[in-house]
Amino acid sequence: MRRDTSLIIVFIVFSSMLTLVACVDDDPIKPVHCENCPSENYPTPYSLKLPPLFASQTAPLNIPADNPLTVEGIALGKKLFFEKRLSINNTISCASCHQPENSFNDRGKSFSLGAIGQPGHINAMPLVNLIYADRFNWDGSANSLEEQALIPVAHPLEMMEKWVDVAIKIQADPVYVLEFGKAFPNESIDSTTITKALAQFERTLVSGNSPADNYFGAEVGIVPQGRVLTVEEIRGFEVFDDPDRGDCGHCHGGQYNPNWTDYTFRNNGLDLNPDSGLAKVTKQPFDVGKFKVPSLRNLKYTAPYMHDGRFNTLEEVVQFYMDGVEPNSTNISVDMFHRTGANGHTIALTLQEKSDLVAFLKALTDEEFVTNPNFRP
Amino acid sequence: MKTFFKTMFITATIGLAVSLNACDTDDDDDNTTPVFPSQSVGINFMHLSGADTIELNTSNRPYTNALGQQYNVTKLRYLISNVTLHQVNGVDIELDEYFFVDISKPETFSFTGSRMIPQGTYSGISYTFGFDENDNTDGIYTDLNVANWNWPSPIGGGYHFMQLEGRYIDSNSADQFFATHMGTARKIDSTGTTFEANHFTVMIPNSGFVVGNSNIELEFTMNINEWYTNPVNWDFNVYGAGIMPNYNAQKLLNTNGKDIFTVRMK
Repeated sequence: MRRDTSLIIVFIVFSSMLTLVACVDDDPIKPVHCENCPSENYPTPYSLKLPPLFASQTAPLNIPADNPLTVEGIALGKKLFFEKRLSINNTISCASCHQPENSFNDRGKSFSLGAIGQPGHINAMPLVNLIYADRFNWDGSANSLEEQALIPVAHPLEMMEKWVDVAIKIQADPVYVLEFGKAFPNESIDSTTITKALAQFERTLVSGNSPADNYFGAEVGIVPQGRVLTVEEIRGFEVFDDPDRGDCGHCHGGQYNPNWTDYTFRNNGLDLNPDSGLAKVTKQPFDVGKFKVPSLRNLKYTAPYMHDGRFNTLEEVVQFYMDGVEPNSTNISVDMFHRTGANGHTIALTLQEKSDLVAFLKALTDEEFVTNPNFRP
Repeated sequence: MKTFFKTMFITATIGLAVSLNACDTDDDDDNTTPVFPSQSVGINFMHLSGADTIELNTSNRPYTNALGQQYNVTKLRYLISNVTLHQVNGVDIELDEYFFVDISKPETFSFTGSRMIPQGTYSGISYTFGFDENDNTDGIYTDLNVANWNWPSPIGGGYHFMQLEGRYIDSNSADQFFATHMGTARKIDSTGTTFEANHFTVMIPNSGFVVGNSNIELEFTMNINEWYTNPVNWDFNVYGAGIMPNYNAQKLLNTNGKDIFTVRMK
């Protein structure tokens, strides 16, 4: 039995080492603990209020067991989200490219600028309702928000900073030491706790008060929180939903999926020879050209569109789906072909249908979300 | 060491039992005729094209339908419900859950049924492909909503029953797409627009089995080529993609689909 115990200990120690090795390069830093923090009462569990429509109609929440939402963790995460010391020269924060007033994306830029003004390589995604998602980035390169947050800090086209240096800067700030002590008692200030805090804040970015939410919610007995769809926008939804016209639903869902995406990765036929996309992660030839199907929420604030930000307006996007799809694009989604049968790829929306559809897409925007004071520093 | 592994094994077994139990949504309230002893029912799904196990996303077109058209498969998702086990004594046992299978997700291939079933002889298994009129209600299944499984309201609403997609080589030797999506059939004629429920409920041939002293496992095998023949040969050149609003295509799937499943006890 003693031998068994020692084996188990060896096993545990060995697995912990593996975990540490898997972490980023901030190990040399001596853990900093908050000396005077009353850790017994911290952190305080946080109960996230979800829009009523979401309670019955969306997927389960993705909250990792080792990073539950807490009042202190969320507050710390928000502060870190606006913290420019996460970048090499203390010039940019997460919020520089994920602006709260623009549904947390970099409005107007195809590629955001990094710490020394260098352009990035892919469009910054809006951060909305990520608590429901299970795979992140356009190419699916992160499996959790914690994992995702590791990437931009160290990326040579983004914040360019070493995690070890981020940890040094944050550990040197006594206010942070106090706040980390409350949010993560007895843990170090390092890439693990910093990304945990950021992820907690990001999970609170829930949007569910658009005219479309109010309209479809009212159909199932939920009291509208604001205006509902106009006649024009309702016509637009009919175009969206109709398999003979928009057929948007195979990828973006409909009134019963308030996230307006199925979280899959697909090639929508932008180019004959598309970018690698998901294949960069999976190394599978059949994943070349596949990118994350984005939510359509808050589109009014998230131009330009597509993973490379090639379209500046929703009119251009709709026009692309009407006659710009490249049918011979590698691994193009079969769902691009429902509207016209296998052999065609153009659809003929009238001018009226097109403008109705664009009006509906804009009505998926939640003005309360982009002005929410809880999401500001 | 032995103890260690034993402990690990027991822990894993308990963990598995707990997780299986967590999936059990049975609210078993019919305590009218308790019959003991009873066994659990495992259900697994397998997918063939002819004799070949389906492999997704092959670069070639390895499968052939009854008309000799070569194709591959990039997606197969489908829904069955009302799975019912018929005892020779005339008592039927209907499993409570529906089965939403996505062949890209192995975790959707095997289930433990919500009900324990009595020992004895069973004459066969029946099921409904898709949802019947009672179950095919807009928007009420959260897990199906997030999978974008809804069937658009302009063509009848409710849910998809199947999405079988891939590429085939057309009559001009060109690569083309097919998307065999099935759901409510919309009919437009001189009297206006009507929607016809398009599920079917069938008894699987030769699906009798005997339950003795142990739990049973039933393996359902779908031969996807059966969607495309018996009794009518399906031509991808005619019904490729875009068949959802096509009444004749929807009804033909209903006609052809009745023999897609065989079942055996493992």
